[in-house]
Amino acid sequence: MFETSHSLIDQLCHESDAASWERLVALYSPLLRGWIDRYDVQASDADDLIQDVLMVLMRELPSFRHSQQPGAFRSWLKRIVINRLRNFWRARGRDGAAAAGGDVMRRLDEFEDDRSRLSGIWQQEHDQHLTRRLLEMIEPRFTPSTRQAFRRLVLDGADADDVAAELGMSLNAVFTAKSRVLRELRAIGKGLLD
Amino acid sequence: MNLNALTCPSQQQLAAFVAGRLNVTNSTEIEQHLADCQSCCQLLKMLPDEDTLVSLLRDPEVETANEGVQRPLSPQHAATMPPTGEQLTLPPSDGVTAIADAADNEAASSLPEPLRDHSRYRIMAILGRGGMGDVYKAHHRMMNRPVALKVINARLVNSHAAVQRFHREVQAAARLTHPNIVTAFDAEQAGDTHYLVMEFVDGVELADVIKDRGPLPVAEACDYVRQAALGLQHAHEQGMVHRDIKPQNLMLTSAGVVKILDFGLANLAGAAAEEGTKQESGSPPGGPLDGRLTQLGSMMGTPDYMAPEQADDAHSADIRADIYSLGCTLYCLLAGEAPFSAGSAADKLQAHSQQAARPLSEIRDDVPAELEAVIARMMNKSPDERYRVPLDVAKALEPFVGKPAVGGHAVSKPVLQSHRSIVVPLAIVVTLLLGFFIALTGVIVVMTDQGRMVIQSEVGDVQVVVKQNGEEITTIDSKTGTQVKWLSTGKYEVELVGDDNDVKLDQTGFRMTRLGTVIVTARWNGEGSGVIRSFTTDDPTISQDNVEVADGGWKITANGPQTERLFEVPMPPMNAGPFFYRAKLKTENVKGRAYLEMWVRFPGQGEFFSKGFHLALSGTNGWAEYEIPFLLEKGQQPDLVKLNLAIEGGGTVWIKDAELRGRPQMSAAAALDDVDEPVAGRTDYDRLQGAWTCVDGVMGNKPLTKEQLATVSMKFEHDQVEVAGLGSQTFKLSYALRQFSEPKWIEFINPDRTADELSIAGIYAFDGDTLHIAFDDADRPRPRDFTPTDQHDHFVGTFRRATASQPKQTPSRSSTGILTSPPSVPSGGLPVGTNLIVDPSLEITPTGELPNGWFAWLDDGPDFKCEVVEGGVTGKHCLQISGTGTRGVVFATSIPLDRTKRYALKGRVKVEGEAGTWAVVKLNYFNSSGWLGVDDRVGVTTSDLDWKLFEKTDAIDKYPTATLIVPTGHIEGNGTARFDDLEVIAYDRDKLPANFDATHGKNNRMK
Repeated sequence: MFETSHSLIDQLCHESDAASWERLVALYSPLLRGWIDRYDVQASDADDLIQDVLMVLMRELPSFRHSQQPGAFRSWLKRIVINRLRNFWRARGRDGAAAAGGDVMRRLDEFEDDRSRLSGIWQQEHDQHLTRRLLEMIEPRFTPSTRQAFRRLVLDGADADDVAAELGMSLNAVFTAKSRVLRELRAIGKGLLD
Repeated sequence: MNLNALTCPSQQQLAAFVAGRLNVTNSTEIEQHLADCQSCCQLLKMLPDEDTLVSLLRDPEVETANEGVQRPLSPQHAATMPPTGEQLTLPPSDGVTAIADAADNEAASSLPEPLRDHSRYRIMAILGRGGMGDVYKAHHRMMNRPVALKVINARLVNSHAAVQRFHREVQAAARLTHPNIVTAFDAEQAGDTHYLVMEFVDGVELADVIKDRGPLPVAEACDYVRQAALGLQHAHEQGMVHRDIKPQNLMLTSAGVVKILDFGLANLAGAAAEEGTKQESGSPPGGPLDGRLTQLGSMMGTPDYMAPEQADDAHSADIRADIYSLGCTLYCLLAGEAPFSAGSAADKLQAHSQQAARPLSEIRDDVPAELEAVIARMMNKSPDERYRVPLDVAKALEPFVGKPAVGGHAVSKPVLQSHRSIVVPLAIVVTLLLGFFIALTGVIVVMTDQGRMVIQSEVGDVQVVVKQNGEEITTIDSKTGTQVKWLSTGKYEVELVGDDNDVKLDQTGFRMTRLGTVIVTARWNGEGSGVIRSFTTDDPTISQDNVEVADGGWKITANGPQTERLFEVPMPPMNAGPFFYRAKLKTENVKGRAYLEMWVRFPGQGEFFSKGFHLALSGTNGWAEYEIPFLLEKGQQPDLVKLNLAIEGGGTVWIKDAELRGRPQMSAAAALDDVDEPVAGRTDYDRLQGAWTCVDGVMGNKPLTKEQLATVSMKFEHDQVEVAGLGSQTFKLSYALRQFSEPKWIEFINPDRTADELSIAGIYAFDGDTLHIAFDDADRPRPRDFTPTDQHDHFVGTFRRATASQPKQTPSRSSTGILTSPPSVPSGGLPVGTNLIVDPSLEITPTGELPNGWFAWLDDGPDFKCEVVEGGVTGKHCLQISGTGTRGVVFATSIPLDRTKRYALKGRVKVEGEAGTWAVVKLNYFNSSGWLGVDDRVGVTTSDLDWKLFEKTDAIDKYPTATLIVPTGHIEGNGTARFDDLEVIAYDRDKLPANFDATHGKNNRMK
């Protein structure tokens, strides 16, 4: 009588390590790379760091308990990234950090502060990145017309009447497309996006 | 949901549908409906596109481009909408932000004109729309706090009689004070618009919870419904019936508290529906059912939860109709849909009166047969066969909740009532059961207006039955959890449960013996509740305009609607229970009403309004006694109380003998007399001081061995802690506490962040002199409880004080704590005389951090602000005060004096603003008799462009009897002063150089 929604978090926890590893890499490494780059890390080191962060993520995901606070997952991920970056620069000592611009630790402190501008950017980028990736992930489950209607209506912000006319659909089918895709997106993003 | 072309989904359902928030079943129904219903499709086009996911996906350029062409939902549109269902609701908290963002254009466009620029409220966001009216989140301008405003649908208040009814209903509802009821504050009017002001609850409807999550686990559903039953019981005791109990009217807060919404409004809708039918068809009330239902349905939605007798004649429906609706609600929480959700409204009504609901056991297999029986009894077609009162429902549900909560009735062994009972003449009786007392022995505290009656049992388990006219009102069991309950005025009998007990009552209390042994003693305790603060004409009122001292009190003259700010006072740590404000009031030529209102602030949680208005005065009646209780729940710790006098329509009001009464945890005098204790009240910071050894510990599910335990210890010294872990590693860390969270939080912080260990988020709890701590690896979130997990670094431990005596606390740098009720401060003594609470929990409030060990009273005023901001010396947090004129703040800590030391106040300050603005720091001297004086001040002006180091030495030798110094700071002029790196340094007297004062800043020492 009730559908069971399979959130991505659930799926990651239940599938094989190899499969979930690949998904995590695909999902998060572009985002993480962008952020790690901000802290003066060379490309080769960045790869290691991304790997470290994702390892923690994979290891701890099954025990991650959503605190019911909005953005709990996002904050947790941020904390992991900051801790790894701190450890990285600490291991390089004072000279290493100084060579890299000197104030990297201060900038990490700023990032850690939940009210800083950087944290705001992180929140926006994380949610945006994840939502778009998740959309790509679920799109194949829909018919081409549903996909198109959704993209025009939601991504392009087009008028519903126009979309219906363009695609030769009825108005209610356009809204149904929006409803179905958003519902799926909510289901798969549960725990990650809220 | 079962829709057809004739019954359109509500606008809220449509919005939820298009945002993908409905489950498959409901979505499919709406999809099918949309295929046949053009008007719903048109409505969908008009709905604002405010979903967070949509804005995340949308191309940012598109978003900006579209802003200008937002399609507002105007009242005209609203009028053409299909019949709406239950929309009078607050959306989940994550929705609020999104709507708030859209508030400027979307909410404002449909906002009734008189509310657009209201003097009292600023409209922030629309929270929901519905048949009965729209709900807005608003900001109370003067009190700087959120409230919810429900603008009542004009149809409900379209006649003089209807307006009167609205006010009556709201006033009746406002009398309800219960944690499980959303508090209604007042009914107000602006132009033709009538609106209800109520508590803003950041929560989500139970209807949305099941929409999101589907059917709930049995224990959870029973817990929610049990809470609602407790709220209903309170209403019942006040003679009120809700008449529209349903999942949409039950809010769930993030703390897991269920609150009933919309008391009184169903009656309003019902009456309006009848009148409407009368006018249209001329038929008498209760006549053609369909006509009335259509009217009613458009306002209240479908009768999914309506008791059979209520459909026949709403007036005859009593509290048992609510019990029926609550039964349907519980059914819905467990089944995921209402018991009779198929068909038209008329079909549903018929089903309610004639059909049996589909057994829950067909739907899920984990509902105990006993629970099904409880639900069946709640939903019995005949009111006489249902539970009599909601309290009985609460008790019946208790066994399924998982944790006992109400009385001792889940006890399996038969208990017989005592043969004797005690009649207690109580004006107001509040019974409370304080969990932390119970941990020690069986103690029950009964609050009365004569003081507390403390019932202490020598054997540990006591049950007390409170009865009125032989009917049981409540049972309190010392073994079960906390219950706070209000009883109305009257005489009650207090009985002790047990068959072989002998009770003796005398003036001082009573004793109860069993077979010659004393098992219970009880005594009247008048000390518990006392005057916290009384106001005399020596106390200056905050607002001086229109206020004069007269008749032993104050006389306030208002030309029009006005709220005068009278007093703001800090609160000492309070015990849970009621506290009161009292005063005598007299009015003359007052148009409308006048009342004394109290605001109570909880650090980090905002202000809550205590309702003065339902005891509002009007006309000229001589002095009237005024007493309003405010209930503090366990763990709630107010830090500030404001008293204002509200005059709704101009006139003259006299007020005198104002006072606050309650149960402070420790009297201020006792705190000040005891010189050995820190002057500050005993806080967890104080309790932690000293060395602790680990007596029991589990690391990742493996109990530590004796040898391992021996190596684990902690030593707290002021704001530092030395932690010895496994493997002889020792860390020197700082720490921060959040004492009022549940569970309490502790943060271990590595100050230099050089070691591998980062800051660790943990929880702690005191159990007598035992300390429990749990924390996890730095990468993982804070544990929620003290249950071990198999995570590698998850630690749960029990600590006891090291047997070596606790090192005597000598203040070397700074001491922390709550400075309770300062002695009276002569005017002109301190910059802001009332702001003398120093609250450690503020250290880690979301507003930021002060230097370790330093805490500020954060005060806001119209022309003065004290806040923690970024922009300190290192760019991180600092304390900023800004404003005009001479305003200040106790920005510091309290230092118990050690006469073998000299002290210096040190820090950095930066001043910005008009030329000649000064930042000034001072040291004030106190002892148990009060404020003794203040020493020379040290100032920095705007001519000093950058951060200036200041250091000033004390003048304790001028004040030989002082036992406490309190640093303060203020600004003079118009500008901003930022303070950072504040500290008080203690120097050993015998090592001081002769030129100490000169080199350490008798006045200024600038660098």
